[in-house]
Amino acid sequence: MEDKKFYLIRREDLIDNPTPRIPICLVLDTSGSMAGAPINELQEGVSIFYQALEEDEIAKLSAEIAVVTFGNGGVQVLNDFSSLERQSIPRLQAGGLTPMGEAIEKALDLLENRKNEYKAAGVDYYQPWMVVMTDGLPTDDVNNAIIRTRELVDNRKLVVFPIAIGDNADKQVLQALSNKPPLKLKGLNFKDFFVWLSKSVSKVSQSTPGEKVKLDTKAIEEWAEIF
Amino acid sequence: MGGDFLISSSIIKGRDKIKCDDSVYSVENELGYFIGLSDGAGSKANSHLGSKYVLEFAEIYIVEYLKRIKCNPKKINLDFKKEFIFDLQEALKACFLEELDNYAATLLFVQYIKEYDRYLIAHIGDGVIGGVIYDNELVVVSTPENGEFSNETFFYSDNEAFNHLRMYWVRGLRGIVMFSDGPEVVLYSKKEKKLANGVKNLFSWQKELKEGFDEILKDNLELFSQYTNDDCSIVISQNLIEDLLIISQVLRDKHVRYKSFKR
Repeated sequence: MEDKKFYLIRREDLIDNPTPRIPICLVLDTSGSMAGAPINELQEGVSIFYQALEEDEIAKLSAEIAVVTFGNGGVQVLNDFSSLERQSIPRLQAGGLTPMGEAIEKALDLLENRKNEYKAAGVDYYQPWMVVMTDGLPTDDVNNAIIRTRELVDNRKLVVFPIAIGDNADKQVLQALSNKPPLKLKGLNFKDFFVWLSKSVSKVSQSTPGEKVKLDTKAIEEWAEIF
Repeated sequence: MGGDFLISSSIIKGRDKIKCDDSVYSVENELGYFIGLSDGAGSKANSHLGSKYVLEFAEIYIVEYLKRIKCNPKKINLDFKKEFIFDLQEALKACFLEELDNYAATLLFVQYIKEYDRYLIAHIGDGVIGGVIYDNELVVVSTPENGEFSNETFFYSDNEAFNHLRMYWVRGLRGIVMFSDGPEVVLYSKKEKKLANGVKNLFSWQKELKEGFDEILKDNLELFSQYTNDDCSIVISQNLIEDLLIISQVLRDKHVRYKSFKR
């Protein structure tokens, strides 16, 4: 037999399929009540999230983040879904009201668009995640946002993490968004939450068909309690 | 394998995995040969056993059934699919003595029927079945079926598995290739639904090296496994007898041209 290397398929004769994506949408409260320590801690948590994903070889290629804020400037899309290398860490500023319903609907629209783009490009994707963090009551109508979200959640098309910051968040609204009880952040422990989130993204990005990914629920106790 | 066919297979456990859930199986039988591949569901404790036994059962069942129906293509219909899945599930439940869900696996197999030079192809779930036709062109026969999300697929043990069992009668193939979702990342374009050009190399190296090809296939599978964390498995077969037919056809054509030239 000739040199065994002769019998190895060359890279250019293989297919370069894109890595399956995990779309994650952060829907963050940046209303006036978040001013001061809460917005600073949230900012640091979001930065840690981006850095942790950057450092994870597989998650870096899989994770696609969108950041929608509600508060300062109304509803803002600070980052639309794209790979991490094309994004910069968003700058969060507190101010204004709490239009949470509009923000959630915006997030769902972005998600729908991105899924259509994946399908058109032949890119596989995992079940999308949406994180909703708020410290107060919504100042707009959230009914449609809840109906749309629950339809996706109940059909296992979306995983929602509703998270209260402090005691004044609207428990009823957060509860209505998911089929699991909402969590309340312990103090302003955004950092531990985002570290947990990045580890969970990493775990999912390595899962294979038929594999049920179990998130580390024990670790949640370090940063949250049932609201 | 006998002199008419070449069959090679290889399997590699995924990086960081405790057990390999993929299985491959090939056997020469009275109709021709059977090749199969199955990928056990990652999070099910006994899926490596499910993937192994489903192939062996499928081969016994299919051969008996084809003999009974005298390989009549019309008899492979929806009723057959329901019956096949029912019998498969019942037999394996009886064998494992517990819920079949723990033994969930995909199912890909090909029964070659030598007498009619015809392939019966069956597929549930992800993985790819393709082939090479006589002018060395690659074709995809059966594409992966995933759910909407990347880590979802279908298994023989599912309640509605017969709805996801795709079966085809195919003729005109010189060889067959099937692989699990591990090698799929480099051997199959999800966007264009076509096989990588490199698959042609595998067919020609198999023909050239015969038994020596097994080691080469393993080396190539190791190369593919660098691009995935998943188990990797592949089966390749080709018919040698057809080469003789092609040669005789070429000689016949040449003879006709020679005669017309002389005239």
